[in-house]
Amino acid sequence: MTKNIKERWRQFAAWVNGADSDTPVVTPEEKRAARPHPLRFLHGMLSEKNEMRVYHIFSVVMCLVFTGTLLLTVLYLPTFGGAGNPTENEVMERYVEKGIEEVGATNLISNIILVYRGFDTFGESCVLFLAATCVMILLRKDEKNTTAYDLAERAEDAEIESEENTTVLRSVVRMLMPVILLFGVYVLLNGHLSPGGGFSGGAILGAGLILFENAFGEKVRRFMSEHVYHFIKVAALYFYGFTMIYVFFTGANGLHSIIGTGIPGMIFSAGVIMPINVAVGLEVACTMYAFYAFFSKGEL
Amino acid sequence: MMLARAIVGSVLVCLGLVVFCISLIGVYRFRYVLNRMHASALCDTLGSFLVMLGLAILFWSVWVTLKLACILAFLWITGPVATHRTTKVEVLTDEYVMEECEVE
Repeated sequence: MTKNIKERWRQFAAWVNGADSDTPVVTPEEKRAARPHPLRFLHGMLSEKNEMRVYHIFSVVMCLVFTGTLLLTVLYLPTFGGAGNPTENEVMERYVEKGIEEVGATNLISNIILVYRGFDTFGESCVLFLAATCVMILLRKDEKNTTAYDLAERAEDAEIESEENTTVLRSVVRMLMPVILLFGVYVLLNGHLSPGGGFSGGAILGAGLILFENAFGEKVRRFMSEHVYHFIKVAALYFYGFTMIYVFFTGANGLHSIIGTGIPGMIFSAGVIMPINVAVGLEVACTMYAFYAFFSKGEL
Repeated sequence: MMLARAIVGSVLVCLGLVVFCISLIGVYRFRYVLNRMHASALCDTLGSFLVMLGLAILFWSVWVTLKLACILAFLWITGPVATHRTTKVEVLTDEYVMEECEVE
């Protein structure tokens, strides 16, 4: 009985699809193939081979035109540090003319992002914190979700990272590591005097940590434990938040701030910018390292 | 003098770009990872050397040359190590590496 019903149903479906009629059956795939591709403007006008050739030439010409336009635009940019550079509007004018006097950093960009628009940058730091937290929630491995496959994978990783397999890397990292970390600290501490600042310095520090972890896995994991990671991250964010509250409170109410601007150009100047840069840098370095650690091992 | 320097510098930079292009073609042309690594390592050393030399001649200043030398030293130290490490991991993890080429 069931077989009969199935058979009938199949017949019915075939009839609906046009079986036994004079017009040939066309499946959707065939229909799609018969229709010209929406991006093939020249369909049917040239032979297949010539058509492809036209498209190749067209794509190359388009790439060249775009590249040329971008390069031409670069030619028309104002020169770096030129005296007659356009000050876009009064906000920019204020930043450029009063920035050093009001905030005290010779790097105008850090004046803008850390004091005039400090709240915005605080949001960015919170985004980093949230991103690291989400990665931790999604990728963390502990005893409850570690499978035998994960353990085997980890053993293979340990084999790849073993001492005899990383001799070259270890000797080079031993040589380069101080330079990279010193450069990161330099960029962090000079954020208010020269190009750089919290985000770039933190990125350099984080990249250095990742490189170090690749060469001497155990040593880094020993001091960068989960405890230390949480402490640095939360402390940096709290410090940034409270400093920002203080700056806004005194700035908005015209109160006297005990953190002066100092002499522009000195390392201890520009008030809160340098400590904030250090906090942001630690935050960024921790986030980068945590991303790497969670994606590669699932734990710090 | 100015003109000769500009010409020599530009020619060196262009030569460096040619080396980069050759290694790029190699990366796509070769079939197997180790061959590709070999092709890509070419631009790390010779290509960056030619470009840096051309830039040093174009700028013709002691401090710029020193900075470029530092960058080149960094690239020459790190590039081959990165290539070595990637290749090493490939050799260690690929079970069929012996079918493609002889590895110690």
